[in-house]
Amino acid sequence: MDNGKISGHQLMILTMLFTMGSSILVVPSGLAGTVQQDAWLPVVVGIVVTLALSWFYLYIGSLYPDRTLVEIIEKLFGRWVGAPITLLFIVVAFCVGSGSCLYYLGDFMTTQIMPETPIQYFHLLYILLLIQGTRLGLETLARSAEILFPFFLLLVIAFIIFVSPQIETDRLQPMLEAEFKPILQSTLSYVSFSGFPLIFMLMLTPACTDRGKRLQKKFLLGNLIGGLLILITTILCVLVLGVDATSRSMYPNYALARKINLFNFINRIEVIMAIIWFVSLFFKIVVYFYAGVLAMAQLLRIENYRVLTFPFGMMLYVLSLMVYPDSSFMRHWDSTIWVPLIATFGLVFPLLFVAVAIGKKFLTR
Amino acid sequence: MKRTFLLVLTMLLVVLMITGCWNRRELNELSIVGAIGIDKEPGADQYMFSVQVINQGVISSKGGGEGIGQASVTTFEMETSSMFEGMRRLTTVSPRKLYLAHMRMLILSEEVAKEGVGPILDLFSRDHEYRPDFYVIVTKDTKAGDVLKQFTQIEKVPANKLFSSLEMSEKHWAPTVAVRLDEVEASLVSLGKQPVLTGVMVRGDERAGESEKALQRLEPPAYVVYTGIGVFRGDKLVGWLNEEESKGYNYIADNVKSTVGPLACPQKGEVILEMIRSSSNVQAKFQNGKPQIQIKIKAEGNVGEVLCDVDLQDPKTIEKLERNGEQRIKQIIQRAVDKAQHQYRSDIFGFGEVIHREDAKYWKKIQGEWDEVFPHVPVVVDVDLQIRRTGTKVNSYLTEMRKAREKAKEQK
Repeated sequence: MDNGKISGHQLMILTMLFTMGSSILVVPSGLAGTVQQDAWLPVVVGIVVTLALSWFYLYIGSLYPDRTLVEIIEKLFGRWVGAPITLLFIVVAFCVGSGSCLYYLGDFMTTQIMPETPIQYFHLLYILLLIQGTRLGLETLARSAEILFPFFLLLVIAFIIFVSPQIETDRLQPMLEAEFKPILQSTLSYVSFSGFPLIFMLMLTPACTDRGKRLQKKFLLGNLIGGLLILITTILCVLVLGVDATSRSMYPNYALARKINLFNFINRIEVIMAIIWFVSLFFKIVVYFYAGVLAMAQLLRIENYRVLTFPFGMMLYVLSLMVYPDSSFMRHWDSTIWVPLIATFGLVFPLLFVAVAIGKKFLTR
Repeated sequence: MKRTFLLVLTMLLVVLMITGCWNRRELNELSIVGAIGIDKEPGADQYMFSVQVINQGVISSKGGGEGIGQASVTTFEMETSSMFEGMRRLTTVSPRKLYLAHMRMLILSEEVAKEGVGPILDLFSRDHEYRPDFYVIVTKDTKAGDVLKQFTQIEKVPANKLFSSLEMSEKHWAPTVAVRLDEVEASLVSLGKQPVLTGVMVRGDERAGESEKALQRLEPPAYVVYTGIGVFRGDKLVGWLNEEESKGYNYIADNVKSTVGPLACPQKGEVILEMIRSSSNVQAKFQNGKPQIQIKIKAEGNVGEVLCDVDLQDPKTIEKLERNGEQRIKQIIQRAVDKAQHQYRSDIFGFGEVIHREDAKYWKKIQGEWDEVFPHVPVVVDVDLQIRRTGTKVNSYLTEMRKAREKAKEQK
């Protein structure tokens, strides 16, 4: 087991980065495609939904304090029924979660920055980092997140300031034109990227030194900041690039960064801006990976989860290359299959957990 | 021991991969493209893809050394059916691979623009090497390739000349508009707005302008000049606005930063006004369910040149000049609107988008027929001009001349 302890502040940063994760790269494009200039609306609704979800997840965590998600499942369902459920969670965290996020990184690099470099090398580099990070433990990861956080914020703020001269407020109008159904649909898509995956944070929360209300506050705050940053970038994309360019861009945020031109002097700095999503993607992948590996170790009752990092890392390497055959499939899969899949794990299963927990309490009484 | 060994091994492996040499492109293997021109003979099915490549040796050398006696840029041309193929096929001519991140201008010929720019523009936004900061222009009465072949004065690289000249003229003279590719694409997609591009032409002897001797003459045999704005309907060029109408377009589009224009004097002659600030506000108003476009211009100017006998000390004169100026700007704008509405039937001002912003439900109903509705939409122009200052002098010597003479007459 990992005996590392993280502070509430560190948990907040990890939650924020996990919320932003891959969403910050891809969400604006999809939203502008479905609800045009109202792209900000689903994010606002999505943030509220995500906050409610986080509260709900923490409630599940509070049923059995100091237990990770896997241990809670085992408590609720017993060893033999619990094991398959845990296994499903591991598959999702590991194959789909970290695998697809890693593919995003590789796809981004090969599309925008170094098209001739084979995608394998980006994945391999990231996985080595991932394995080493996970081996060093949650404490190290959380501390590195804490160290990177000020730089991260600085970059985000610089990004916002640098593109703001090109804002054209007309582009947000007419407001609230979108109909109910597309808004619902894109809210769901936002929540499926930033909300439902938060269930895996339950593998990390027991390591936090804060408990109860304090934990809740930190968790929700991290969540909120991450969501707001996505909201800001989405609005900026629409305000600066316009609906058409945002929805047709593979990575609208990068397109936005390319537009930066301050006094013909500060320009061509998009790769520096890309550090924002290198960092957020890394922590999204690492949380997925860590959650997956730790869950496996707890399932198999392995004392030290570190022995699993290397084989799992190698598996992830292959998986990340296999999850999507091409970028068009990636976009299709994300908007159709990913949503119900993650909703099953982020909503259906948690509801089931709570139902079982309440039922058990009732029976024992 | 074993641990240290493994650690060192991993580090070495990582070092191998993070040198970033996979995609390395050395400067001496690259040709930096300054501008691209696209031509098409009428009726031909192939495009002529021309690039202007910067001759690094000449640009960087300071007296002596490599590249003396060479032109600062070279143009290559290649026949092709698609842009990407043309670009790559150019490696058969150019000794180096084209590098596009520093491209400044994309020049489309009039023929290409008339046939439609649809099949051309995609590459320039899809390929990762192109940046979104180059301008798109269209030639008038000349070939895009010929524009690229003209030697230019003062700026060594013609592409840079085109780029800064366009920016400068937009800033200080107004009848040109610097359009980026994403704006073209956005107006191609939009139902309520049509694209415009500034025209460029070669004035003078084109052939003589292509020879390096042109640089040695004090009076260049040919210049590359910007003319009015080209109006598109869909992806096709349908006509041109003249200088004045182009200015009118820019007043509406809120593109006028500074410009200069004549005002009629109370008696005869003219006063030249320097516009220093102008902002426009375009709104849609509905009367009995019918849309009406209201354009409000707020402008500020200074008297820049006096060509007539006028008493500038008198506030009434200034007021009179202001009214004249308002009339004039109104006229310019109305001419531009009139031409777009009735001659070209193309909503280059984005009135459709204005209506969309104002009343999305109404827009939904008419967006399909907007092209037919647009020519009949009434447009009301309201100009508010303030003349603030008269430059460093009060009255012109023309006025003082008259006064002096009158005085002399009286004294006699």
